[in-house]
Parts: sequence; C-alpha cells; structure tokens
Amino acid sequence: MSYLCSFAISYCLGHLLVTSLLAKDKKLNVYLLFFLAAGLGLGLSGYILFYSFLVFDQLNKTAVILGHLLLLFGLLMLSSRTKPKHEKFLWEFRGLNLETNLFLLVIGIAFIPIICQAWLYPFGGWDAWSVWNLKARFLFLGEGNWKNLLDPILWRSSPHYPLLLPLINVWGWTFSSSPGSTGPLLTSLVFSALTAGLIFSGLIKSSKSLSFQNAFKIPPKILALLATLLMVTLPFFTKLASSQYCDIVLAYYLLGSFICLTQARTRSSKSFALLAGLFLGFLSFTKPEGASAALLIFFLSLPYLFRRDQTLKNQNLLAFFFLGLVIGGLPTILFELLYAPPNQTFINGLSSTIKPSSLFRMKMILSFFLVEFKSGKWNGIWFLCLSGLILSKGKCLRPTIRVIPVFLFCYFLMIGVYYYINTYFEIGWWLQVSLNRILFAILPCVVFWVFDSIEEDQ
Amino acid sequence: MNLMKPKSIFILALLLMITVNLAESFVDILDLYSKRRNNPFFFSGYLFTGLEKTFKNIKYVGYYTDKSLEESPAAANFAQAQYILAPTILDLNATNHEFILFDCSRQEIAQQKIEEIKAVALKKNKFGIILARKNAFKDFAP
Repeated sequence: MSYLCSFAISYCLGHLLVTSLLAKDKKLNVYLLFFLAAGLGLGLSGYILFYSFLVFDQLNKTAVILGHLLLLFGLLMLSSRTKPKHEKFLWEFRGLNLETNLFLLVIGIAFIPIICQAWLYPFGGWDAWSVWNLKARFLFLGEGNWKNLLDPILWRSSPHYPLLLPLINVWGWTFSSSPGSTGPLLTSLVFSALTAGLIFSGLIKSSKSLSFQNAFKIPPKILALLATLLMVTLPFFTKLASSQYCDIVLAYYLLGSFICLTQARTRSSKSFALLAGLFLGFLSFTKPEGASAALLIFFLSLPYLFRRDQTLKNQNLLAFFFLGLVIGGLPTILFELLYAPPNQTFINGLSSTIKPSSLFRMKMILSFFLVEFKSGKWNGIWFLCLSGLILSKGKCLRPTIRVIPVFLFCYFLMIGVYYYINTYFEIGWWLQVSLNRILFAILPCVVFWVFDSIEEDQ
Repeated sequence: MNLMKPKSIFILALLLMITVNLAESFVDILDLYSKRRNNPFFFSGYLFTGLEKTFKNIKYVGYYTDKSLEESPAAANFAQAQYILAPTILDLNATNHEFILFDCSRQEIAQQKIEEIKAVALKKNKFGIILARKNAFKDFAP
C-alpha cells in the first residue's frame, strides 16, 4: 500500500506539471498526457530524493516528503493560474473515450505474462540484486554510510552507474520501514506499462486511417494497439520487463524524449520542448548508455528544432528545450562531479599493449550485431520492423521523424566503437550479455518509428 | 481487401507474430509454474539473513570462498549475500577484516582457513555459512 501512496504522489506531481505546461493546448491527447505525466512524476520524485541526499548526506524521509508536498503545492498554484477556470481540479475527462479504454484493457490483458513472470522472480534478474536494488538498499539502509555504494570494492556492481532507478525504488520504500522486494518489482511493472502506454498513446495522436484501396480501413487506434501488442507480447520483452533492470526505465525515457521532441516540432510547442529537455535529463541519469543517448539526442535536436523559416519562434523552442535539459540534466552533472568513481571496467584498447583492440574484435562485433538481430529470442520482430519501414515508402525518413533513424544510426555506431575500444571484457561474453539489452531498450523507439511511418503513409 | 497486397501481408504477419508471441509466453509461464511446484523459489541471500544486525555500523566484512565465482551458483551466493547485508561491504576473499564469512564447499576447508588466519568461529548456520572473527578476545586483553 505504501508503494501505491508514493506512486500516487509522483503521478500528481507529473500530472500537475504536464497540465500546467499544456493547459492551452486544446487538442491534447489525454492518454499521452497520462503516460507522460506518470513517468515525469517518478523522475521528479527521484530527483527530490537525490537533492535530499545532497543536502542531508543521508535518507531524510521527512525532508523527502516535505519536498514532495512543497513541489505539489507549488505546481498546484501554477496549475490554478494557467488552467481555465471551468477545468476540473485534477483530471480532465475530455478526450477519454470508451473505445480507447477498451484497447487499453486489451493491452492490460496482454500484460498478464509479464505480471506472472515478475511474481515468479520476486527479486528480479541478476543485475537487479547485484546492481540496481543493491544500490537502493545502500541508499535506504546506509544512513550516513550510503556512499559505501561507491566503494571500488563493489566494482561488480558498477559503482559509477547513475542512480535514478535506485532513487525511485527508495521513494517507493519511503512510507514503509523496510526495503521489501515488492517495491522494485512494482517499479519495473509500472515502467513496463508506461512504456507500452506511451507507444499506444503516441501513435493514436493522428486521426488518419490505414486504408487498403479504400476497401478496408484499419483505424490508427487499431494499428497502435497492434504495435503495442507486438512489443508487449514478445517473450523476451516479458522476461526483461519483469527483471527489475534499468533497461526498461531507459526505454521509457528514450521513447518519451522522442515523442516530446516530435510533438515540440510538429506543434511548435514550447511546453513539449521543455518536456523533451526534462525527459532527456532523466534519460541521462538512468545508465551510462542513457547518458550517451541523451548527449547524442541533444546534438541532433539542435538542427531538428531549429528551422530557418520560423527563426524567432524556434529560437524560443530551443530556449525551452535547453531550460528543460538544464533542470533535468543537473543531477547527472552533480553526480558525475561529486560522487561517481571512475569506471573500473575500462581499458583503452587503442593505447593498451596488454589488451589491444584487434581486427578480430571488430569482426566479432560486426558479426554479433547480425547474429543478435537474427536471434530466435526476438521472434523476427526486427525483420517485421524492417519490412514495415520498406512499406512506408520513404515516409520513415520524413523531416518530422528523421531524428529517430539518425539517432539509431549514430547510437549503433557509438555502441560499436565503445565495444571496440574498451577491451576490459572478453568481447564474446560481453556482447552476449549486453547487446540484447541495448536492443531491448531501443525496441519501443523502433516500434514507434515504424508504426508512425506506416500510419503517416496513409 | 486484397490479401496479396504488401500491406495486407504485413498486417497478417503482424497478427501471426502476436499470436505466436502470446502462445509462447503462456507456454513459458506454465512451464515455470510447474518447475516452481517441484522446486520452490529460493533466494541464496536468505542464507545470510540475521547477520545484518551483527554487522551494524561495520563497513567491511571479509567473504571467503573456495568456490569459483566463474560459476553461477557461487557467484549468485556472493552477490545475494551482498544484497542482504548492504550497507556493509563484502570484500571477496579478503581475510584482513575483523569479521569474515566463510562459504566453503566443505567445513574442513573453512576450519583450516580460520586456524590459518588465527580467527575464531563465532557461529554457523544450518546452511553451512560460518561467521569468524579475528582478534575475538582483544576486548578482554589486559
């Protein structure tokens, strides 16, 4: 029950912020608002905890709860000023409809295997107990010694990793006296559900229909439902979504960043630009891969948001994007400056004589990428996505969505170069345990891109 | 609807894949359920519960094992022990700390090592985990 209390407070934070920012947007997709608000709220809760650790040097529950209440009060004030008077207090029912609710119910039913899997592994997968939940326990139980989690002896637990997921888990435990395993389990289920919801709500934004020579039409909502089901029902997705790893958190914030960015550009919305910056900030505080992705998206966003034809307007877009990024990225910068120990699992293969990067390593990396895409665990989803892109007849590269394929290309290149340069691990083993998780984290983005392109093609 | 149109084939493939995914997921879950009926879930970290009170305010505790951490069960034991005993840090195969946990394949190996480092075994739980302490009598020294 205490976890639900934490999540409810976080949701209220996110909801108030999103509705305050987007109050004037009459065509707001209420479902997109919900799935963005929930993740935004959890991110904000994580940040409140981070700042409380920064100030008090230990978990101070009173300060954390007070911080939440203060922010809630501030956002309530902001919301009451920005919202039209006739609007409901916390939740607007405009835009809700039975058909979409039924579709969400279908997605919920498809979620049963993920819930069962999570319940069968209450402590999650290996990295849950040895990395993410371990850090959360250090934060929750460590009192003044919480920084023990950064000790080099714990190199197996990657002490240099950012702390967003552990902080969210600690927030889930705040109203209870002990760190039970149910909290992280629920966090992982919540983020899985939010990722699925974000794909669905992101794709139903358009009212266009998928038509077959006008004889048979598949409404975008059904296409969005199928896209979400495709991802949610994948057994490998089920396994990783319930494993309590940070990859699902990364997947959510990555997808959220792109949805906010595309909305910012297509609607010329400063509010969405601000949200995109915030989501990128959260993304950077999930994992080192998230930080690399956030940096890459930041550079790609500059030309994406800046257009010559509407210079002044888009300068504002960029200003709001930067503002969000500064607010969202500050904890990552502070963590790197004040706390993060050096990465002990890095050897520069370009300069090392003992473990140099070799041609064999490069061949191995390139061939493993192909092996992984073909792997049976994906049930052919990458090939289906590829055929979807071909069917979109080039619409997948249209200017409003081009930022996603460019990002994917650069991200793969970046990952490949990192695998090549860092020779600390034996490459075969490393690729085997990590590449599938990198692909898992980008899968929602790819599914969104493919189905958005198909939908746009009609 | 022309079923031979590429987009129709795409939608059919999509539906087929969702069906296969669902069937595979449910088979996996049923398989897991039946496995769990025979072998209930066990978290190795439970082997170390209760020790966290002994280690309150102790930063480092040694963790000695003769098992290879290249193998999953031994590595899982160590990782889950660390999970349960956090915020105390387990220092793998370091015997220079005041408290040392012994997770050995045979009790004789643990006993031999305890004697070698001049420690005293304080307690042993039903899973064979031994807690030893170096300088156990230093508080009573004249």
